[in-house]
Amino acid sequence: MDIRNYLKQSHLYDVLVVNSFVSIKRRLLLKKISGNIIFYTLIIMVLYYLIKDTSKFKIYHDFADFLVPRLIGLFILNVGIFGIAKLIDLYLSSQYYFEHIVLNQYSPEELYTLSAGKVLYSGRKTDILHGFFESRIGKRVLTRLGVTKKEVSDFISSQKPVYEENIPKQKDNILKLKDIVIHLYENNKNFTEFLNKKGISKEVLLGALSWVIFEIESREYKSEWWRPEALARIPGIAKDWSFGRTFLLDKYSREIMLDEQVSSNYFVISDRENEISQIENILSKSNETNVLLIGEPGQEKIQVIWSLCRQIKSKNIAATLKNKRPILLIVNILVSSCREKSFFENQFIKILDEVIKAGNVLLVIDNFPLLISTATQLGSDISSLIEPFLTGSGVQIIAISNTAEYHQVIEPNKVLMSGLEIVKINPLTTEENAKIISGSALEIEDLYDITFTFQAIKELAESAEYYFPEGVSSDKAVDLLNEIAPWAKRKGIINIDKNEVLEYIEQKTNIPTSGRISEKEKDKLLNMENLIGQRVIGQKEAVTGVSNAIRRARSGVRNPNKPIGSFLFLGPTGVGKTETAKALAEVFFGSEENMMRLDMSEYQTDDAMERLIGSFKENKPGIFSSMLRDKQYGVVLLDEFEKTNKEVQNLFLQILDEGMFSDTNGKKVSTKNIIFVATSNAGSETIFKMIEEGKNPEDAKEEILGNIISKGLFKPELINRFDGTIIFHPLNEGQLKQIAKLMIKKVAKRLIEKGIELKTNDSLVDYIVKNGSNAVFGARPMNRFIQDSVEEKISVLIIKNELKTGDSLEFKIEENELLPVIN
Amino acid sequence: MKSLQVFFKYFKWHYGKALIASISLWKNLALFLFSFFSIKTLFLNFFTPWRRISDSYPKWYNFKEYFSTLLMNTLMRIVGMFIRFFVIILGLICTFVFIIFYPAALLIWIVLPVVVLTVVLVGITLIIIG
Repeated sequence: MDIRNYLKQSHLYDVLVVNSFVSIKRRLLLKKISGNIIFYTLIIMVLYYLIKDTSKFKIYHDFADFLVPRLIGLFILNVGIFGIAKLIDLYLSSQYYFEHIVLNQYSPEELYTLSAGKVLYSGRKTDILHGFFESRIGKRVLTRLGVTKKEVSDFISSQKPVYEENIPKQKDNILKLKDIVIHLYENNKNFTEFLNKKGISKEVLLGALSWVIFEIESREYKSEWWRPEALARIPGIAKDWSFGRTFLLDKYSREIMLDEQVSSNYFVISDRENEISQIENILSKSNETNVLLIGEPGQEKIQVIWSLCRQIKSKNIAATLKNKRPILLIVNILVSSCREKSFFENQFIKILDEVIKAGNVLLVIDNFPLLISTATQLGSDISSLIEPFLTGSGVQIIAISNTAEYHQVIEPNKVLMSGLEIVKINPLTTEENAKIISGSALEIEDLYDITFTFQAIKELAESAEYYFPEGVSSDKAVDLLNEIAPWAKRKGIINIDKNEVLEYIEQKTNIPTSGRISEKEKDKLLNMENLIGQRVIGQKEAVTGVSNAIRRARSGVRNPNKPIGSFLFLGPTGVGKTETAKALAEVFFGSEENMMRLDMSEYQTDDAMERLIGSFKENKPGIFSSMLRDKQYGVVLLDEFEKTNKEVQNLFLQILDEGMFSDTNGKKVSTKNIIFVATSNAGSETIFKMIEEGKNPEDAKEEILGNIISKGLFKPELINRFDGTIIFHPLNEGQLKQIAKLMIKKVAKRLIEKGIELKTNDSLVDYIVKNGSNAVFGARPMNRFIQDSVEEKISVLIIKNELKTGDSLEFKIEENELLPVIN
Repeated sequence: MKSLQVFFKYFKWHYGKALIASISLWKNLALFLFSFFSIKTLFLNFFTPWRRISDSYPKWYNFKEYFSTLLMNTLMRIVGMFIRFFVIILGLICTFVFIIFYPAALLIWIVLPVVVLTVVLVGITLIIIG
């Protein structure tokens, strides 16, 4: 069907004509100009009437006689123009059909929504594709996708109009903008190719479209201040001292039904069907109808309550809950006003009595563990106070708690556990989180005069979950959004895309994200072997293994649900295992300080697990879980891994496989941004033996691992969980000399800062290798030896003032003794 | 012809859907004012002591203290009644004035298209003729 004929079948056609003639842009301009003219003509006329009788002005009377009526005319004309623009605004706004807000029902005779109509109207002389690209709303969607104006005009100018085409199929009984966009994506190859080249998938396209509609509708919705729900949110002037029949409850609580999030389906982020149906089932029972709602810290728990309130409001709920009045008891207010046991108990009992008297109150207690712990501090036992109410049918309670506090405070209390039925909240999906922050982003954009693309919002939601594993993703995503806006503003970035988000996260966390890789970083990544090789001598296989892991992580190819990398370094002492881990921390995370070390030989006893992940009995946090909470990215060095007990090794089976573990309180700890390096001396004897026989230990890796497994040091499944098992060779004399040179260089570097030059010579290097290394400990004693010999001698010379700034120092060896020579 | 049709559609909206919406707005705003001044709540708690400041009564045989408490509590009730009375009256007056005068706003809405067009014409005439 011809688009024009289709458009004319709806009564909205005339609205579209008006809209195209006086578009919102023109109306805004019209209102601005006429408003300004009204203001200035008014000022001029006031001034005129003030000075018209003064003697100086009399000479201009003739001119004034000519001008004043015309000024009045201009004033009146612009009042009229302003009025017309305003009336057109009201008219067009009243024709707006909300596509997301389900409160607005469409009339059965409607063909299309106003948004869809606007796109079709723009393409009435060409085709739907041109209509989409040329309409205001289509352009907005493309901007949200990060497509520039030039790219839009280049593409559309290369497309020949089709003129006659099929009208998109509608999913509901009315054609929506979403139907048009799906139609274009599925039927127009050029459009699909254009988007795919820019990395825009169908999912991203529809996400951006939903966001644009959301943006328009939220503004339309908020502008309707006269809706009864909007008026009901304005607090009454005498409410706080009117002392209603639920006086105490009102004092410590909030009428949650009046929250903006309940008033409109616009705020529905997730239906939370599963949780709501569980709550509904529990509350519909005749006895012990109380719920304990458990979730991670953040807004998710209250969002479930809002969803429940919406269902109560819409009467789409079990009959027993239809006329319920959910009241949110704000525990913080209650506990802050109670300083004595008797007062607290009195107030609490009175509140519950009021709830019973009211008859229809559903009491939601927002921080139940705080209520319990405050009662305990005051010497009161909350379970004995609340028990009679929990077992009866007079009061219905929904107690809210964080997961960790539930385990600590509520779970041990048998009375409470028998009176409350648990409903656990599942975390929101990344898409739902993206929807939450897309709403907040609109306000931030206005505030900072910046624009986010949809991909940026999506990345924010994904990154919040991935790079900041602690807490609730939606809260963290909103926090990130609030932080990134001023950061972008300072850097002069107006359009925030996915790459800017990743750049910010990289700056914040030091974790190299897979965003834009700079030239400098590209060089670093491609020369990783050389960079690590500068510090780690003679361990080519190890260096290549870790370099490959870094490149995989940086390019985004790695499995996102596992640690960045995990390696088992096997080999004798003093061959560079720890040094490799340090080099890894420096190259990948920017500093050696990003290496965390655990000496696993300290975790051999039965209480090892408790010390690592926390003790429930003693309510002590674990060393390992706390360490990873404080620093959620870096290299974790597990020294002498074979010495830890089997239980701990089993914990690492999960960590290496799933990238997370649960601490003693059931709180999840993420290890997805960690590189694990487990070192072990196991198999050293075999390695030495092979070297003695002139064999390459790498060729017999299987034999070495077999030996380790047969001795029961590691389970085969644990070894298989590591991304790489790397055999470190004992160092030969040449390699030891290189290490000695590196160490002397470090000393020389420190001396240069004092203006003293330390010259290295072969005899000094040979002396250090001879005395500072051995077959069993490799290069490990070397550092200590340099300290005790070279550094000690230098420090004595400095103190004696024999070695001064500007001097040059060299060491000679005579009769195996170091002799300093100052030039 | 087409522009006439657009005008016709506009007037149909102005005197149809929009006018009906204005009437329901009358009701919404009146209810809002009633709720804003908490008239119902104040009325239901009319005799409650001001800010619920009241003392518990001692044993009946302690006449002096008993009557002093009675006097104090009665006084607080009178204070409460007094303040509530004024807020209720103020609220009722505002609601009443709004209910009475809103039809005037409705009348303005009814004549608005004519007024706006007249204003434009008068403005143009004044600019041209002076």
